[in-house]
Amino acid sequence: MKGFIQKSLVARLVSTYLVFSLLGVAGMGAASYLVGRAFLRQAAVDRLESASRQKETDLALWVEERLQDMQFVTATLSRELSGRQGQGTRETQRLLTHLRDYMAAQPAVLEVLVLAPTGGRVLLSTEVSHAGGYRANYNFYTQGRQGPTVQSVYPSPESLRPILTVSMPVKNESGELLAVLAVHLGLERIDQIIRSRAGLGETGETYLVDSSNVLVASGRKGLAMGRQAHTEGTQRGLAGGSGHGLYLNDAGVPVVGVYRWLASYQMALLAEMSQAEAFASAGRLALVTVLAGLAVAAFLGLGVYVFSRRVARPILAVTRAATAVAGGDLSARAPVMTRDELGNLAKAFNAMTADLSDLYSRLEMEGRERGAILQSSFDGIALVDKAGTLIYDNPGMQRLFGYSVSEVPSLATLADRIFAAPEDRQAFVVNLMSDMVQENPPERVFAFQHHDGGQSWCRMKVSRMSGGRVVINFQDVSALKVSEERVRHMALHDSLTGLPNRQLFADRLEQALRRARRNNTRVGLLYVDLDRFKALNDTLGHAHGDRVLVETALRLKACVRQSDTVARLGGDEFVLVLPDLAGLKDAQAVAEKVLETLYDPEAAGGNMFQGASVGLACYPEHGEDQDSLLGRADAAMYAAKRAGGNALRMAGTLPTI
Amino acid sequence: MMPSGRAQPRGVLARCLALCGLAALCALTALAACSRGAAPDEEFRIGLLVPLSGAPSLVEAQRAAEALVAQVNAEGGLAVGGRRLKVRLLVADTGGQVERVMIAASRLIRQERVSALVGPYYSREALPVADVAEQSQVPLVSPTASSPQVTQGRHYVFRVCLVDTVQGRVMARYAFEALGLRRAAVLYDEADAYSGGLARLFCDGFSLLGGQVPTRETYPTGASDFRAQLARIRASGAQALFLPNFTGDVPRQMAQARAAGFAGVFLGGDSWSESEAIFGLPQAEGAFFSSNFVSKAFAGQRAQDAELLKRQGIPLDSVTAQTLDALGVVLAAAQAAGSVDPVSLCAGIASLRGYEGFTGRLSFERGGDALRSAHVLVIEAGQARSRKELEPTP
Repeated sequence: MKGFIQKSLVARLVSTYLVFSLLGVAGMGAASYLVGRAFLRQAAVDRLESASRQKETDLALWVEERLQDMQFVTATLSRELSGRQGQGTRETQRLLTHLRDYMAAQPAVLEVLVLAPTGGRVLLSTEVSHAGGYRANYNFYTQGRQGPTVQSVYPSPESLRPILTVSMPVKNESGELLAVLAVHLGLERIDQIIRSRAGLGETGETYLVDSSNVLVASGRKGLAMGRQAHTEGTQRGLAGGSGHGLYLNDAGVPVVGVYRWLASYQMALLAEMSQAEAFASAGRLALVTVLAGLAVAAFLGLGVYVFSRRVARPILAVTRAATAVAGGDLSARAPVMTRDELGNLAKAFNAMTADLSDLYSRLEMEGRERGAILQSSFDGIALVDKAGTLIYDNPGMQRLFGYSVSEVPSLATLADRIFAAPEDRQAFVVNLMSDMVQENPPERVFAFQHHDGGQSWCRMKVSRMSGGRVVINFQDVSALKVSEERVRHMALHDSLTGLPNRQLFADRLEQALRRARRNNTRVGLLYVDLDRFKALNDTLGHAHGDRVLVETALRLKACVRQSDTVARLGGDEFVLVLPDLAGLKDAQAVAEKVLETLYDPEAAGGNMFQGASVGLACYPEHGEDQDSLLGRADAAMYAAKRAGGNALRMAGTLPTI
Repeated sequence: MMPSGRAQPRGVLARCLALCGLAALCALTALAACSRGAAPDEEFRIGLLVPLSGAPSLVEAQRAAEALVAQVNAEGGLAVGGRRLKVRLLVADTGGQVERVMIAASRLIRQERVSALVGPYYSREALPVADVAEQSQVPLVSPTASSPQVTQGRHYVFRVCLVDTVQGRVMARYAFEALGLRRAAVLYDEADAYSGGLARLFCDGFSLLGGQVPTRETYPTGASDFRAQLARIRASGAQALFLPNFTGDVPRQMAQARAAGFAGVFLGGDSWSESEAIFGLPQAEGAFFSSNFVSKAFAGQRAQDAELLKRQGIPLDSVTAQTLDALGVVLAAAQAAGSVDPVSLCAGIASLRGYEGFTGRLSFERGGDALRSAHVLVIEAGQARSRKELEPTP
């Protein structure tokens, strides 16, 4: 549910509205309850106050009536007392009967006393036992001598129950004080006034408590007389105040109460009504307000739902289109449903999507072209990351090395495959690493072993890309290498015999001399010139001459070690370099072998090997350098030629020309 | 489209709800707080019923009691049952009118819920209040109410002073034996319980010893002219006149008696001990009266209390001494009972033996009347002097 609310725009709008409107309704309900309660409280207080005022008035009237009753009694007494001389038993009995009649007529009267004008002696009492006692120290007596007095409520010394005493002087016609008439009134009789429930509702009640907090009269049935009721109302009332408040009554029921201190009776009059009753309408008002508010909220909620659906529909449509685009469908378009901002949003979205689609297809085409270029490139192209891992290789690369990315995941693996020697592998990796961090690395050419086992040449160039990747270009230069080799061979070899030419010979001799100097060995140098070659060439033709030269080259090669060099200096002149010799004799042996092999009268009818003149020079005996050695060997060869050919002469034996 | 708008509205909403909840809670707490007042602290509440307005006023008694209570509280309260309780003295003015005394006593017991009452001072007030105390089961200790009826048949009513029966007997015996008088008259307020009671008890005692009472004269409360009664007394040939009346009446009676030609000895009860008005009177010279209290040097705690009164300028006389003794009895009983519950307190008072008060050693061995010594004082040169001390007779 929560997930649904979070995901659905309509649900969120409606739920937000509902939460706020419910808060509003609750607030309205609370406000109407509180306001209603305040009104009702005031109304209840007014009611209770008027009721309690009424009761106070009733009470005053009741007391007033008792006083008026007493006026009659006083008049009678005055007549009786002024008329008689002594305290005759008959008169006394008659007076007592009179007083008892009065008492019987007034149920509230507890006792009627006639007190002496001085000393407070009880002359006559309806309670016979009280006659002869004294009431001198009673307020009702001292005040009653002056005039009609209502003594405030006090606990009767006889019964300890609260009583009200009304007293007045009995005077004769000349105004002389004859006696004091006092009447004790029982307050239980006030109940009838207090019990009247007029204007107090169902639970309203009034009661009187005297100053010592003893319940004097109560409107509530079952409330025991005389029990102590310590409530907030009684405390405040007995403290001498008048007012109202909300508090718990003695039964613990929350009430609205009005309390009045009746100073003239020294009693507190309380009127209370349960808060439940007083505030019932406030609760109903709040309930009605809340229900009405809920109905309005529900109705408006429906409106919000419809409205938010209408607002949300174009948004949802754009959302659907956007979701489709995000899923890869660039052909998706949002319907333009309105002409407001949402419509503009849809239009803008569609324009954006169309642009995106164009861009995407252009990019796709470009990508395809680039891919095709890469694919069709003859050169090998590889994309490598910083660690040397191969990310991409094109067919050219696979063709060049014979491996694909799946077989060689990294350049290190590639190096393992294409280089047999560990040093080559290492060199390759080290070079690559340094190239990858250089701004403009050099081109590198190296030989490697193809997957099929053949030796190939490759030119490599590393180019850095952004993000630390590099593109490596591999070019197959094997063919180039082959032709380059051929050209170099041609430059250093005689084209007829394939022997090294003068240039290569000079190079080889130099190398041999250098080694001999270092190793303290000897180098032999044979200068060979074919005898009578010119004649053969002239008589038998150049072709035959060339055949002789080629055969000679073959026979010379057969005479020497692999490490020795046989070179043709031109015409019919050949030189042999014999490095690393131990002594002259070794050179002599080779020279004699040469002489022997080049004199073969049997071959080609004697027209092939007709002998040769050989000059021998040796390092270091006959020369320290190339020129002196070659000159001595040449001179020795001439010496041999002059001697008739097919002979060997050693340099040292002849003078230098 | 609106990726970031989700958390915030929810947070605002939650905060709104929390705020509303808080407000509601505050309102409830406030309502709950209004409905109950603070409970009163635990304290030892003692009511003092004393006449302050009207004459005679016993303001000094109130001051003495308040000084003692203040002293106890200043020392950290009264040690009762392992706790220290503050003592609170609730003073009610009895004002001399019965209705007012009844209201005051009832209010102290029912409304103020005191644990004990000290007072009233006069028997006419103590008698009705004794009923209230008995009915409410709250102990009452009167400093001076001496009428026998005050304690008779009651469990919760005590007194510190001598009961009138003892006083009457003491004065009758002293007049008869020590002074050698044989004819004594009485003049008393007929409406007052103390006056009437003591007068009758003196007469009974004196007659029992063999003396004669030629006339018993009365007057109504508030009367100021006693010449008729005094003339009759003089005519009766009485050697002594017993005046068990209050200090408002006695000086006038003495003056009128001498004026009427009465030359005998004036005798009185403990009501005299309160009054400088009597002592200073020339006619009173040589008069004898019974008393509970004789001013002397005190020891121990009483010496400290006497010092306290002196510091505050409160005279230590018969009334203040008996007031402090009545209050002291209540405090000592609370400590002995270990409780300030009225019923326990009553048992505590009833079991008190040998309490050393200003007015002597007090023991409540025989109901509400303290078993104690009595003094007979003579007025000499405007001063009351102790003439004789009578040990308590069981």
